[in-house]
Amino acid sequence: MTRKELIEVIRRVLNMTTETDDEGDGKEHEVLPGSSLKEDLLMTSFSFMLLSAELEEKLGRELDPELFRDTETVEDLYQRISSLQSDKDAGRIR
Amino acid sequence: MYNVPFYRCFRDMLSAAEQDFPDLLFFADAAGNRRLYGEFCRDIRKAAMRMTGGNVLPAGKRREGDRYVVLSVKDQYRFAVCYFAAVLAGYTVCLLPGGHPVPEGLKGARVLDEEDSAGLLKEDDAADVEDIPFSGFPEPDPDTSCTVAFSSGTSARDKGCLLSQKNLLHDAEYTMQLYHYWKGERLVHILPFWHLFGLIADLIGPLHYGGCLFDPLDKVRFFRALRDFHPDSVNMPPALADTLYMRLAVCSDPAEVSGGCLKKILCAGAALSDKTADGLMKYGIEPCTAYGLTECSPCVAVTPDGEAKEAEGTVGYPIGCVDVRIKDGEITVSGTTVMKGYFGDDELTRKVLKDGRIYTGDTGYFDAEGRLAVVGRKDNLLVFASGRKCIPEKVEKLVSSIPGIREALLSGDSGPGSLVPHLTLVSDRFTEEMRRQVSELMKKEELYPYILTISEERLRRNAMGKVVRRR
Repeated sequence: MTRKELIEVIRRVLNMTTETDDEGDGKEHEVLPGSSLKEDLLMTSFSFMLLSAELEEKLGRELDPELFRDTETVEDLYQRISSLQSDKDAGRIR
Repeated sequence: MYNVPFYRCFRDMLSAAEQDFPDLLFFADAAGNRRLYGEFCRDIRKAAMRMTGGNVLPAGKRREGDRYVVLSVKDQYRFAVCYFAAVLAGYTVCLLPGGHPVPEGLKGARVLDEEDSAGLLKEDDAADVEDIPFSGFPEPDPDTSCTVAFSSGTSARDKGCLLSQKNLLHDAEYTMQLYHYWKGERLVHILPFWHLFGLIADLIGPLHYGGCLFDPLDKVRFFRALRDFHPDSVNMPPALADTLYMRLAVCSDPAEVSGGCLKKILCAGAALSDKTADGLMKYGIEPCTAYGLTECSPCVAVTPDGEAKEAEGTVGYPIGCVDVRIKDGEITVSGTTVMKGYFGDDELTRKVLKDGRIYTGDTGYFDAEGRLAVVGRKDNLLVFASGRKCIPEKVEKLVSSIPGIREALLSGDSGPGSLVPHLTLVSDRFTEEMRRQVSELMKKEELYPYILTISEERLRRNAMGKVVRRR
């Protein structure tokens, strides 16, 4: 998964969890590599459920919930997923 | 109405479960642990004997001094075992999230943490305690408090509600007359047992019928749990129902998301939005709702199975053991599920519990079919110059359903010595036709004449995202 693809997945989750249509502003969520998942993007435990499900679908493998535990920014998450992808023999992230 | 087995106390309920479903799966988790009903019941008896040092209390004798146990255990299986074991051993159990500080009034209580609970369940080659049947434990007084459940409600203050076995059993049993479980029903367990809704809906209820629980061990694994465990039902907060609907709405294969067997969900704790309720029904999932409060053990009313569509906008019918009355717009409840009182706070108990009736602070009404609708808080009630008492949230919901109106706020403006209705509407394309519809509605609600303000700006909200009502 590329950095751009991860940002697209996060944006998709944010679109699911916020009703931008009802607000009428039609703005896309600004997701940058340095965006904090909780502080800037206001992701809740429910958003992480969706993100986990979307990523598992995209990556075709199970993710350990620990992946999200101390992950601060989008870039942190990207790095963790990259290391997971490079470690093809490992079934789960430790 | 469904036939439900009624038990006098937990001891009898557990004894029946052990006898009826010994080889049925009771609990499984994402780590691969599995326990059958027979094993669960044996674990409870063993832990109860260890808690008493092998000496159960004589019949009719109450535990003195160290009467309270604070259960501070995250592991859900061990929590369930230790809860019932402690009650069998004669303790009153305080339900708290794992790791939560012990409340001030319970500093002297026996605290059971993760390590203690693991010790109570450990397997020994040489049995250190006698394995006695449930009938060997003393028959308790079902009206005596056995549980302290904490409720902050809408206030910030923790209040410990004293609940008896009768309170809790009646709550589960009368609720199941309307919303039922069946033998072998599969539930994903997402509500913690320390939360009263979780204790009743995910534990005591399924134990009556032989329900099978699956614990994902982490909320993040929720969707994987649905996919892998194929639950028939899930009890959940409305925010999770919203999340489920969001995922279903964007997926290509709904059965892959829900597990393919999900028939119904039960939501409580807040209102379920009409959008989510309608959306879930399109996927064959019946969204039932329950209304309650910790002081009532907690369920007061529930949507019956099969009536979610008709009951939309309400919380269903009051359960059979409560008498719900609307007094000055406020929902009041009496019955066998009403708590004994607040732990260590007689003054607050007297304030909330009058002649055995709980004044909930919630406003509501019954619809023509006898279903209860909860619309807001009593603090928001308006009394106008005409003498008309009005629940603003109810009128706002009606007005907001007019196409083109995004938000509505009903308040009272000071007239000559009294209040007159003031309706603020948020709309960026307010038309004469909309004005006519609004006026018609206000006349029907006996709120005419009224002051109308149209705004294009969203209503002012507080830090919690709730609309600010007071000016």
